[in-house]
Amino acid sequence: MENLIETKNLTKVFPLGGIIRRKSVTAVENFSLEIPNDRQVIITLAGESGSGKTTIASLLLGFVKPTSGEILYRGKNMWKLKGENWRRYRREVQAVFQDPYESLNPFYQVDSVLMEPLKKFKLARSDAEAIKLASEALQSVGLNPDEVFDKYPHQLSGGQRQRVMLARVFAIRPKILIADEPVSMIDVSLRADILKIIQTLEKEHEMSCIYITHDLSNAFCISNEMIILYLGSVTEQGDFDTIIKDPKHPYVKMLINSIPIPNPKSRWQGRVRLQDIEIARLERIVGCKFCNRCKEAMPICSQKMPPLLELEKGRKVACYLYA
Amino acid sequence: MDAPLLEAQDLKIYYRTQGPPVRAVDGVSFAVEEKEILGLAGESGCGKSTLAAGLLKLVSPPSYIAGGKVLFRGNDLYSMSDEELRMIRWKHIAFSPQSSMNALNPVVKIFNQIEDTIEAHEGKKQKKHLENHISNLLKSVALSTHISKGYACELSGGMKQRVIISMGMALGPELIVADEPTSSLDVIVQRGVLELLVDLKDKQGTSVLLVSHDIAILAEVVDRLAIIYAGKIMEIQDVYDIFEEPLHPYTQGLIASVPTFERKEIPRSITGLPPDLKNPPSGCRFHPRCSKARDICKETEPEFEETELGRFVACHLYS
Amino acid sequence: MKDKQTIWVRDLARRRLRGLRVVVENKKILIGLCMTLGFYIVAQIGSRISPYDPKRMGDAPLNLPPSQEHPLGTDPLGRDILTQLLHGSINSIHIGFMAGGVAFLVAMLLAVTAGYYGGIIDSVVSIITEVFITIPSLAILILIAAIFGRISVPLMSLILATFGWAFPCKILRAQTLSLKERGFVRLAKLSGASGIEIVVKAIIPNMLPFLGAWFAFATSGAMMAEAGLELIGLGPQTIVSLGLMLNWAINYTAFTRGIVNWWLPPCVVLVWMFLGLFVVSIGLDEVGNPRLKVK
Repeated sequence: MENLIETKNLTKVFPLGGIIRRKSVTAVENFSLEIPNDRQVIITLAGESGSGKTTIASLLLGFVKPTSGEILYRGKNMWKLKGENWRRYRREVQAVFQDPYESLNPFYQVDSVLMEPLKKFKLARSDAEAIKLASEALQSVGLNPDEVFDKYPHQLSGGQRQRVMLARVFAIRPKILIADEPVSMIDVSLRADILKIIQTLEKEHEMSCIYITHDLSNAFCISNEMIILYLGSVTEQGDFDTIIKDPKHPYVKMLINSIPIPNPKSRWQGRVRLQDIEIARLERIVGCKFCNRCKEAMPICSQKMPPLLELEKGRKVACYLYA
Repeated sequence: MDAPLLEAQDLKIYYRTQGPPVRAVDGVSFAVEEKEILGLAGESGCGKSTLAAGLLKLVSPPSYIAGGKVLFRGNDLYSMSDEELRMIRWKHIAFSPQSSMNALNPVVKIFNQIEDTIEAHEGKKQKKHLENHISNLLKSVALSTHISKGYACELSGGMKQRVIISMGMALGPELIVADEPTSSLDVIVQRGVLELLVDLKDKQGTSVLLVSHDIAILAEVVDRLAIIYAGKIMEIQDVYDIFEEPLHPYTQGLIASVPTFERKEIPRSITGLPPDLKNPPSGCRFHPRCSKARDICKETEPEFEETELGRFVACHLYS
Repeated sequence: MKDKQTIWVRDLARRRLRGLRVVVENKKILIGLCMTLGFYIVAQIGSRISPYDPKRMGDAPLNLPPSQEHPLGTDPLGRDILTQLLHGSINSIHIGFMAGGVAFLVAMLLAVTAGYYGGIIDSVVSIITEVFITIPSLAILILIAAIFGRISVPLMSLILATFGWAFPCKILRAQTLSLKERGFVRLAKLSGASGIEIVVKAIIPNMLPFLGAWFAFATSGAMMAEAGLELIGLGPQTIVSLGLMLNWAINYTAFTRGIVNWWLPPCVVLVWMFLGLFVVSIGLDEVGNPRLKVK
């Protein structure tokens, strides 16, 4: 059985202008990912700013075209889908974004956010049915349709807006949800509810999720697999728990060690060196992108990009220390 | 026992509305000692940002000081003239407000912005002297000097935040009040900025009041932790003690609601929502959400008391 | 729950017409429409019931001050000024709205298409727009007037439209570009909306304040341009218009002779129409920004 979504060596380069010397930034390089068709997974796509995770979301959603590599949806190239196949892709791959306010059209009341897709994807045969499905969806996320249906976006709180976006997902029942920082702009006390909704969608509604975030603690609660990106390339991927307990890649080690833990008994040891972080991003680096910050760098690291190799079942690392 | 560096006594800061005022800070008392990092934790809307700005009397309408005092080395800041207060601000107490990265002027060179700050308080300086000073400042926040010749738009979020901190340190203050200094920063940069604050305390003896909703980062760097809820301080303890044995039910709920790698489950957040500060609940403000609430909690507000040395809590369970 | 749902279904139909309702219910739009449309209707009626001819010389005694028979008096050529005003207003409004309307529509269509679809369409439209903006319109207009001599009203409108579409187009395109990047446009794509649907339902409604303002600008600009050209002697000259009245007023030294009742009324009418259009655009601003609607 083919994978639901599969990307092979996905690369995206953005030109940066300049007429004589065309500069460019490689946002994503050689990214490969598989979402199976026969079971549900929540994969965390983790990385700091500049890691390319948002670009991957845009690529998977069809907002930008890859520079090279391909994205296969149910075995077919996503950009060559037509007719019913394309409509199916559009319906089955949905998203929730970081800023729920941005995602809502200020001109319309929020019911349109639910009614639009129900009509367009022919999930409801009449207005009445659409309203019924929409109110059920709103109730599934803990919102009272009475209170929300005819409000304008600016009349709702941040937490409510994000729930409306998830209600929309409930109504559409996609196969894959791309959640791009779904809780980072939500109050801490309301984040658990949003995470629960995503978990419910996975367990009870056959939906896989690509959870994109820089905050691993929240993702850990609901996700079992993780891919960590650094400046567009995959550094390590595999089982979430295992990587947290025993990270292999030097960048991942530094990242995991820098996650704040609410326990003063296990405070950060040593210091991170900040000076070079920002400079690294600006330079065009040959070889491993982390080599100029890596304490264990070897000569080969700055010459050639390390390949992503499988250490053990399901665990891959891109580092010459393990080649 | 030394006098505290900064002390708030029964501080009240309200917001005027058409109806009853919003009691954002409603009788807050605490102290920041010399050479310590005090953390102030609370959910959004609990009054912590109002409190942070209010300590330096940075209140503008519709907010106003409704009562209380703020003592800096024993001197009441609120009864000072504007000029005296201006001398204290920046030179003795520096303030880094929320999203202060956006406080950098986009069309002025970094060097000139730091220069302006210094000269506004200490008068014109010699060029050479100034260049040295600024160079050292930037070095102390791990930024190279050539940064100062550029503009804010060329810097990343983490770099901007460090420039703000260096501006705060420019006149060698004894206290920095930092409101959410790392809120939009990457994980590793966040650690770097927080470690910077720790270094300032260790090497230059600067105290820091670190305000944040994220108790995980507070656990990493503070010496003592204060918990604020609905405009009132609920608990203050040494940071090790408070995580070992949180006294107030709100603190317990807060700690339990933080996701960690110890438990593979969605943490339980405290039921309910923070109260409307125009009309806060009677008695203890937390009682509607408290699993251990008793009748007395609905009627009488608990006193903020020191139960043991250094352990302060406002809860009927301990009075 | 069932009851509520049936209410919502009925509501839905009402909500579809909401767009129109909201526009009609807005006070400022109504006032503005009354001012402009109202005046136009009054002028139409008035011009038809007036017994005088606005152009025929010697129709009445010369230089009469305002009286019952001639509410605005007569001009040095013996024509009733009020009749001139009514006929002139109608013609000026026709030219202005035709020219402004065409300019605005062309600007909007090109701007939105170029802005949303980008690519070659955008490059081509941008170049053409820039060219038209840099053409010195007054010089060309004078040239055309000199060559053609007598221009007809439709031609006049067309010429004015030709110089009126470029600038609004540039601004509206910029606005489209910024709206295109908004999150709700991405979401609309994810909901299966086609390009046209997104443009019509997501982008244009959020541009209403701009559209309203630029329509008012284009139309009042066209009326002003027409008046100005007539004033200096270029233009149709075959029909009475507000600008032509002012042209006559200058030629017959009405200003120095103090024949206020001749030159002031056209100015007042022009200002009145501009105000009306302005008020409509403010109303559209309110409609376009729901935050101003619902407290």
